[in-house]
Amino acid sequence: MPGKYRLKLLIALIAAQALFLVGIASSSYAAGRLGQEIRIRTAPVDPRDVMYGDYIVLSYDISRLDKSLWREGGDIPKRGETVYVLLKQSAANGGIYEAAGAFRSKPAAGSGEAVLKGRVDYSFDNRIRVRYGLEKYYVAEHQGKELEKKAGAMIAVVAVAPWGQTVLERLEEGR
Amino acid sequence: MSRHFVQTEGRRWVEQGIITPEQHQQIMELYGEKKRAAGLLPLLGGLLVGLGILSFTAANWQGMPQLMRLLLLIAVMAGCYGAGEALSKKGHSKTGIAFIGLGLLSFGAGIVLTAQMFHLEAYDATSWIVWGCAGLLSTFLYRSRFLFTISAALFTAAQLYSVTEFHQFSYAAFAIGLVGLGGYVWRRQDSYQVWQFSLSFIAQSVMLVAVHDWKFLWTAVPVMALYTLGDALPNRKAFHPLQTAVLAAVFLFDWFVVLFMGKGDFLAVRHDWLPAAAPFLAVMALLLLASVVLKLRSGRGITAIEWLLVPVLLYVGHAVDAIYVIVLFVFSLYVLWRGYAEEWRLKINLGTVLFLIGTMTAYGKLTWDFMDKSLFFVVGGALLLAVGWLLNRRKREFFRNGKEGTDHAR
Repeated sequence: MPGKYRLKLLIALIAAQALFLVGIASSSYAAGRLGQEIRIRTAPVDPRDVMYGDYIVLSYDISRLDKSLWREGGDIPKRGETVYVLLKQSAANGGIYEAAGAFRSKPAAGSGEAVLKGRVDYSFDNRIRVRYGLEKYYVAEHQGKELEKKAGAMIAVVAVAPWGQTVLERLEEGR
Repeated sequence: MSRHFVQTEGRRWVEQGIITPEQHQQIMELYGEKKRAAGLLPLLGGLLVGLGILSFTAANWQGMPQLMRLLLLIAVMAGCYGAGEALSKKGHSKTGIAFIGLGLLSFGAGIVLTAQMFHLEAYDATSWIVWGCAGLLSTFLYRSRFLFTISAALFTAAQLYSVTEFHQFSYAAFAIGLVGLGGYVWRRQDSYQVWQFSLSFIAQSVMLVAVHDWKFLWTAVPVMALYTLGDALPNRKAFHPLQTAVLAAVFLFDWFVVLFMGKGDFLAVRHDWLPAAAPFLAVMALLLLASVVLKLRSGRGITAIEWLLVPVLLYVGHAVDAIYVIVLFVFSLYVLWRGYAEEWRLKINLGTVLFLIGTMTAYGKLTWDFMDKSLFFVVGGALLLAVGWLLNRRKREFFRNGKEGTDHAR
């Protein structure tokens, strides 16, 4: 496929790839600017060895849901299923968001509430473990040590965009 | 034939007056060493440059503002693609393809680095699939084996990622790979690419069954369907890897059974391996029927013996290791026999190797109640002798009738 024809197709292919990258970046950026900012309690998964290369693996309080939070009929969701988790701002806890219910389809959120979309990692007995796509926090090479000192309870600041996209903005020291 | 061979042997031919020194020189020029060596260097060079750019970018990454990073990524990617196009237009196709490959690599790096910027974590294999699609499209544009290999690897990796990270089979990766890679293979009809397509298909079939915790033998359905497809396609020279890859995979599985499924071991896995007999055997019978009809139609009915490898005899339930050591023997004898009958050295060698594997496995592993070990080997040896005698007789008849065995199309 030589000649001009191929060149045109190649330009289209490059443009599509560039658009894909710009698309990811700008939608994440927009989610950060326009989204509702919520605070969730989190901690590194393995505090003895916080640094996995250049990112930390996080586990949230809302990652482990009790069966009693499941608001739909039938069995609790299985591995791989999509769930929507309703979060409520807790007045007692300094504005931290906590899980208030888990649903199969997206529930409406009032003021002081937010909905995160997640995927069930595994579930058994009366526990559901959910992944939100917020479990990795990339750090610069030299920031690792500082974060290691703070290891333990942290607050994750997450932006929830009106279109449902979530972006992990930053980590703050927990109390 | 290598240049070295032509060089040394050619001197002898010149000495014996078969060819003139000038002719020898002309023949040597047909086997230019430069051409081949020079083909590999640009690929390696491209790889090194790519790694250098990657490590440089990674080292200075944190200091750059985000927008700058994104633009840099896109510029590097577009630059590589552009250089690739310019080079292949000028006739440096190998170097050109190396740069296109680099462009593809930087697209993948772009996805990873963009994800890092925003702390994104993947939910599924989408980004791998998008990467694979970019590879696939560039393969169609440049008709390159190298790009095809990368694309096939990307789709297989996408599936592996989806299965191991998310415990989910990505039907999207499977379907797009099947249609995209398959479509390309169908148009190009190149056996090297058919091999890669087949191996990717078989690997994904195993993942499909494993991730759903289906009974393992269900893997045989897509895999033997691929085999049967091989009977339906016309260009045997190009498409035989569809079947050869399947036979290799099934042979390995049977060998595993022989090695590790001795007395009590099979009982332990039986429940995980065997589906309900009726539906499974019915599907297998249908595929077998289709395959045999297609084989008969193209005059290759004898190759139906290959179906013997399909591990349906596991349903017998005991002594499966002994059963499959016999199956391996019969199959390797069959390969040997076809090799001699078709006078195809590769097949003869392959049959010999398979036969040796079978013999050594049987000798090292098995203790049998049903037949004395030594008797088994005597019978095996006698069988080999008989087959050899039959084949030699047939060969003599061939030459007496003045025929040549050149039917290499299996």
